[in-house]
Amino acid sequence: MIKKISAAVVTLAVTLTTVIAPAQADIDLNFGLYASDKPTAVVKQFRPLITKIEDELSRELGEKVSIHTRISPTYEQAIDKLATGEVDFSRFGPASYVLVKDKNPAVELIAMESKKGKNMRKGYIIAHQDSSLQNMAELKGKRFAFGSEKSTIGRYFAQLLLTEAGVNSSDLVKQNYLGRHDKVGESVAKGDYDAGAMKSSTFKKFLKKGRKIRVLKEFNLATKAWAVREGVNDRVKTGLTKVLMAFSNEKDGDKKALKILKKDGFLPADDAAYNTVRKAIHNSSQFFE
Amino acid sequence: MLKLFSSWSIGTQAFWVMLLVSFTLLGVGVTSFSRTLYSSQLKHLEEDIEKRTALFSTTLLDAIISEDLPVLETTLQGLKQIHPNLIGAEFCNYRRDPILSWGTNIPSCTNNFGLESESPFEIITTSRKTIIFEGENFGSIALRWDLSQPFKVLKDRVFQFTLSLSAASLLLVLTLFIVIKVLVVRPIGRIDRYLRSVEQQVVDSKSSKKYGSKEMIHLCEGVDILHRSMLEEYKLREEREYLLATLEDKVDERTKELKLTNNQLSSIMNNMVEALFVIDSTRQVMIHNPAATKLFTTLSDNLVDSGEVNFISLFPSSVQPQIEKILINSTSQHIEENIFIETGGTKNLLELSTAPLSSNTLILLRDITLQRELEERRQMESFQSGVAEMSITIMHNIGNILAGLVGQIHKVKKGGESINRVTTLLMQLLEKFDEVPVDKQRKVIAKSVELIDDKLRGDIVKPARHLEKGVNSISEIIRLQKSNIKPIFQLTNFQPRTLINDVVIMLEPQHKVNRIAISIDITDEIHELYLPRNQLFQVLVNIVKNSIEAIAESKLKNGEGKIVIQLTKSKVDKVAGYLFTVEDNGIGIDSAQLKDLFQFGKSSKKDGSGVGLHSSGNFANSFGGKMWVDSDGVERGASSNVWLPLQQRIKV
Repeated sequence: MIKKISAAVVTLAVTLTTVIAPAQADIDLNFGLYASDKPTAVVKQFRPLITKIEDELSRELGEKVSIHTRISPTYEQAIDKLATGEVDFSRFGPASYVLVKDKNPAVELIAMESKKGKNMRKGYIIAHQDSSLQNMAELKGKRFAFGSEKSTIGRYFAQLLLTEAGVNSSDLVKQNYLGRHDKVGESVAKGDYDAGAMKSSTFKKFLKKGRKIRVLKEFNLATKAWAVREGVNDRVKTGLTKVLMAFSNEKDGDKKALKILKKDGFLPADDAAYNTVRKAIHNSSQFFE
Repeated sequence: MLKLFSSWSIGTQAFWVMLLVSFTLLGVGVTSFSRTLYSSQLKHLEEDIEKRTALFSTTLLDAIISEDLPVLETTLQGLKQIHPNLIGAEFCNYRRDPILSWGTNIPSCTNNFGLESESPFEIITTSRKTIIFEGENFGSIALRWDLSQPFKVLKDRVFQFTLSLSAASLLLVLTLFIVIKVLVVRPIGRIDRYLRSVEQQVVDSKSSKKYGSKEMIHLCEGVDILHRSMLEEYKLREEREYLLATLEDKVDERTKELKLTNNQLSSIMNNMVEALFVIDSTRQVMIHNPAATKLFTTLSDNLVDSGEVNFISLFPSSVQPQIEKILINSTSQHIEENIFIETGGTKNLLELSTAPLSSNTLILLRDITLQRELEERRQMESFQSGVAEMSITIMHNIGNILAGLVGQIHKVKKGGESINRVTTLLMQLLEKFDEVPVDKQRKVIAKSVELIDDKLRGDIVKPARHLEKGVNSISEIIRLQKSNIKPIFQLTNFQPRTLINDVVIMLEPQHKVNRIAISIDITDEIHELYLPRNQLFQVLVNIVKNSIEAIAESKLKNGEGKIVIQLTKSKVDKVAGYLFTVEDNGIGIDSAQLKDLFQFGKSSKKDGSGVGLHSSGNFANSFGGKMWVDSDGVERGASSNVWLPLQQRIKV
């Protein structure tokens, strides 16, 4: 009997609190990322940018916006989370964007990161500094280090260029997915592999450290994509797009946040910019034929 | 029980009481210490669990942030192996939705966070921690710990430690009390027995040897000594009582002696010619004799026989500063000084002697006016006698010569008469010259010339030579007397202040008319002089009188004149002596006159005789001293200086 009375009192108290308290106007958003580095390092890297977006979006929407960072340990999980709507918006590399779009076409590209005012950036096929390799075709019978299986540069672009140079999977004496760009760079510098695929920022970092690597082949690809899940509130989508487009290196407050992306702002969405990547992914099976 | 306890010796009682108290304190101490130790260890265990939970959250941070289930599972497996007392765990995301749960007794993330235990001794404990990174909540962990084994280990260790401590303490207490028993209780018993034997007088000096330890032997020997001392003390006490009994008689006898002495002393005091005073430090008269009353009854009406009288107030105000000065010095030394006082037209000279007592001063006063007069009279008589003797001697010598000269004068007289007779014959011859033949004339004239020549040679020239010799002898006697006679200096002991006071009093009519201020400055150490007082007195009168007249002749107004009479010790040509200086601010002396001042008949004053300074200078010179006068010029004052050499003192 006492238990019943207590339960009734608690229920009444909760109800009254709900009724009397002002309506919760907060907007909670989940931002998806995949762990390109240690999750704590990724959080540390993106927190200033997320905080800036929270502030600007709150101002834009006139409501308190809280953005929670959802870091997925793998590309697949990150793609699934946006495709299934577990996260509201994500930052993807070109390959992941193509894959999530393939998985759920309703996923919508809202912005592209700007690299010196362009939506394109560079990727490299690298070799050891002392290597005699002169072109991609000479990689036949050699060892090749790939990045992640879902990586645009680390896998799809590398395999597309190898195929185009007439080198298939069977022509390589050793090949492996090492997971991250830095691991590819280290293994080529050590001589564990003859060549590998690497993004430009990692390549520059390695040169600075004095690692013995050089460019064997340079290529262009689209910058990273910011996409929202299917069915996201239009007001939020528009607001978020507006906030991203408003980022500028000219503003002191934005400069610090953009520094972590190593980009100078955002550009309007252009899905066609990912066609090369799309082609590389869709034709990736040719590499294994 | 209490009866049994009372029957024990005090040593045994103390032993058991101390043993009981020690055991009680030991029990309380060990229990308290064990509790503290247990609480401390438990706290340590709780802190350890808390640290482990924090370490878990750090280790699992990346996996929880990325909700990486495989990594979480792998890490949990590893942690389970490291921490076998971890029996359940739950990892939740930021919404507190469980990501991974494990164990038979799964804790919940949703409860309040922190270390949770139902009681300090609860064996199953849950610890919780929220994962917050970069200000963002990423989830939480809850861990369930079975602390049965650590608790058991803790209890066992505390128990073992307590047991060891108790055993060690018990052993220590027992050892301590055995030591006390051996070293304190037993010796006390022995001392008790020994003291009983002493009390019963059955102990000898060697009996202490059987008490073993060196300290005990010393103690027993000490008791022996004390015992003997007590016996001696008893003996002394008996003697003292005997002495006390006879003391009263001795006191009576002594009192009688003292009374007699006192009477004799009173008699001496009463019959003393000198006035006797005993005064205290405030100059109040404490004791005085009848002579004192008599002396001051005639001098002052202030003296009363009883009540407080100030000694200084007994004297005229003119000498009170002098008395005060004497009394100041009298506290540390014996002083003798003469005081010249004048009251009611009577002049008295008092000899004052002081002797310091413990805190008082003894003063003797003697009226020496008559004695001094007699002395001066004796000196005058002596002087006159000397002069008379000298005159007689001179007259005697001159008389002797004159007696010799009378015969010569008689011869001259006879010679004169003979020549006179020849002259008469020649006159008679001259009257009858024409009648007398030439031959006869020649014979008579030749005879007359021969006679005159004979008389002149024998009766005139020769006695004249004798007369001349006699006169020369008289001159020689006078000269010799003059050279042989030295001034007679009657040296006496006297007090310089008294002398100078006498001089000032002597000239009082003169200096009072001009209202001249005369001050006396005598160096403190000169209390007595041994010099010819009379001559010195005359010299000082001369020069002070000169100063008074110099002030009178100056342009100074009445009352502006000042004379300072000073006496100091001074050396001239390395000879020790006394220097009297009389300095005035009178008319002064022109420098041209200074060198002739001591010549007979020379004076700087209008009506001066020129005798005073001359005779004063002669006195100083004849005494081996010196006298000189200084002046900066007219209207600039002058100072007269008399320096006399120190004479070997002869105490009269």
